[in-house]
Amino acid sequence: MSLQEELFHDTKKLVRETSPFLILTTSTEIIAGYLLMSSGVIELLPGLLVLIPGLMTLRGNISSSLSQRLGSAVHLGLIPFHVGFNRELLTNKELLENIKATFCLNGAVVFVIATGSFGFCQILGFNSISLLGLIVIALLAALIGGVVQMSVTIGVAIYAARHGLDPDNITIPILAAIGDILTISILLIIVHLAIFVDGYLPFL
Amino acid sequence: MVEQETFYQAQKIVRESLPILLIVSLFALISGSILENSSDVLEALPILLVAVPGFMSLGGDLGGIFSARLTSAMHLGESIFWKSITSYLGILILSTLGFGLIGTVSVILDLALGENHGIALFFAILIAGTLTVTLTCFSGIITAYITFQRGLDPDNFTAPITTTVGDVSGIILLTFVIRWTII
Repeated sequence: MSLQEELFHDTKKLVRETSPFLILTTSTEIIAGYLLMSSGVIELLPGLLVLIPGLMTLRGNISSSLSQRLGSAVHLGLIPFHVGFNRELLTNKELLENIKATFCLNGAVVFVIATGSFGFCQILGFNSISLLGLIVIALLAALIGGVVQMSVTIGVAIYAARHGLDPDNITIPILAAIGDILTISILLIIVHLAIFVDGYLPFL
Repeated sequence: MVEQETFYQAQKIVRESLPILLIVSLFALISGSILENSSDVLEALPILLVAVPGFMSLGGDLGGIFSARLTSAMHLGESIFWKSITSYLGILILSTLGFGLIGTVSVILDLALGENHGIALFFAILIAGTLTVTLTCFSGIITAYITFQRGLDPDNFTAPITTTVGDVSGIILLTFVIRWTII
């Protein structure tokens, strides 16, 4: 193949592999934006609207970085994703180090973001629920979201390896879509929970 | 037996990632307040509230894909020059698709709300989107190049930087283009 053909092929592969997932993500985000606008979350739990998107952005960054490292690892032949979800993959040291780091980062950002958004609300004079409440919600959101996003990242890497796709092209849009669905679900669950217990949770 | 060193070490990943994550979280708060300060644009075009989350994250996502491809090429020692050109061309096509979709939906919702900004709204979103993506890709190249030169793993840095540049520049460019063309 000449250089031109090779370059053309590279661009074509990127567009072909990414476009379905990108359209899916964009549609999810439009729906998410619409739901968030009409859900009334803002009036019900002030403070959360500063906390949750910030938390999700950060976690999106953590999982995007993970997916980029796994993508690089695939290109370098460090992690055998083509073997599928089995013992050989799960005992791979490179993968374990990546998983460990992801857990540590997720844990660390929870406290920073919860405290940060509490401080932000205090300074700007927004009403916010208590600091403990924010931390508990952030911790729950991080635990559920973190595990889901990490499993998805690894799952996509396996899928890509088996179908000859470049994980670099597809993981980020898939993670973005999952992240949005998680954000909205967590916000809606919390709102309904708060309505259900009708203010009896001492920390809310 | 000496344990063999792995290419990835949890401690090194955390040490490189944590500071940059904390810095970008500050910027996430800033982009939120920029949006609040653009209430004149939001009042003139309420439909933007639906479009903005998708708009902001699409810019960051495309920049992220671009840098993910770039960093893989760096790790493999391939030519960064050609990789950036092929990737950027692909990203431009994808961004036209993505922002075209957001633009189309916005125009339809705009009509449904009984307003009529028509095709100008579509092109405002498309133009602002293309500019945002170009900026995120550019920030991705710079970040990858600088971190790789310093012996750091660019994979730990490009995602937070491109997302943040996508958020902040996206909201600034979108409100700017809309003020300039529609209001």
